[in-house]
Amino acid sequence: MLYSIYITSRSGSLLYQKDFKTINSPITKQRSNDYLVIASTLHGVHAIASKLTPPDAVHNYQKAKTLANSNRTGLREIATSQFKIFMNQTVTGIKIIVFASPDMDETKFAPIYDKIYEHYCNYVLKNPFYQLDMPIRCQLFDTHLNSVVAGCNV
Amino acid sequence: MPIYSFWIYDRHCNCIFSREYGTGFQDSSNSILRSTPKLKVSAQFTPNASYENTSSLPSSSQSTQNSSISSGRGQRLLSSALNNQKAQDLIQKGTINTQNNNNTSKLLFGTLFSLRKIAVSLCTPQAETSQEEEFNASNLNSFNSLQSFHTLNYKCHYYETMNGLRFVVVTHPAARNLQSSLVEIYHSIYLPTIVRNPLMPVEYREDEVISNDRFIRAIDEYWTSLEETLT
Repeated sequence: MLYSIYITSRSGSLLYQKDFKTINSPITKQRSNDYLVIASTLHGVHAIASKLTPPDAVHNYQKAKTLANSNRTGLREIATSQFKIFMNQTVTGIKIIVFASPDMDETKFAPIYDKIYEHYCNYVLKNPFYQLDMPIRCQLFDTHLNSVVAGCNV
Repeated sequence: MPIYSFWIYDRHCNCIFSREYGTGFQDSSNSILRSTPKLKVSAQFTPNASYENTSSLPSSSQSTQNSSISSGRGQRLLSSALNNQKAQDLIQKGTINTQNNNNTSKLLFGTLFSLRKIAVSLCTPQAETSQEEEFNASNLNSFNSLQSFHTLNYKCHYYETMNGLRFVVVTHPAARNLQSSLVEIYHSIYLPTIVRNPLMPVEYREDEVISNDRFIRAIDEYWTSLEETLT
């Protein structure tokens, strides 16, 4: 189950935020300012988490089985009792943050992330009216994202 | 699954216990890195050093505990039931309470604090009256709790008791969920050796740490008794 998707720019500002209507979603509606705060906090914490790496653990990512893309040392997953947060970073520094149910894990999540990224490339970056680092308002992206989420929430 | 460090923060956000473990893996770069903390440990446990510590903290209970550590530590490691070489490495190469006020400790706490805030605020319903707001803000009615976060390099497990005491352990990213271990440490080690110990303070002042010998030994024994920490 996917609960919501955030996309932040490389400077930490919120470009896209969407809560999906699912049954029993633990995530409640927030004020629009709170979403900005949450996105930029996650952006900062992502950087701090890589600073916190214990000296003995610096090379662990080389042995990791999951795909590292460009998020080798930063925060990847946050587990809480109600939901999980997955963070992925593209090569250009855009972060795709997904809130999912606790039974989701990295292997299940990887194909979903790939699809989201693909739709981002196709329907946001290739949109001639979209300006970089501006909030994403593309209808095609919305509909395709909805179909991805509907596909895994069934 | 090596274990890297273990931390306890009290409800005033001070780090009251920090324990860093050596990973038990022998490689050359490792030994260079470890050489400085090792010196710190020996310095901390000489009687002179403990005397200096207590002169700045005029607490009688502290001084007795510190001196008991300085005399007891050497014998303890020799006579310890843990004859496993790896377990010994893990314990001896680490440091105790040398990181309580440095940047690592504060960054770790800050990270956990903001993640916890996100986790709780996302699951808290919008308050309409001030009464509701008060109810939602109370520690006892939290709608969600942070369990862990991980990067590809390490995993950090988190457990917060109802009165705001926070237990944190940093391990290899492949580790299973260790929250149950943190709960067990609170129940079977922290409660009997710290809370039910009349010599330990109820509230810790700044720069005051847990230097109780029995507590440290129990913590070390607990982590090294987990089979996966040695593999």
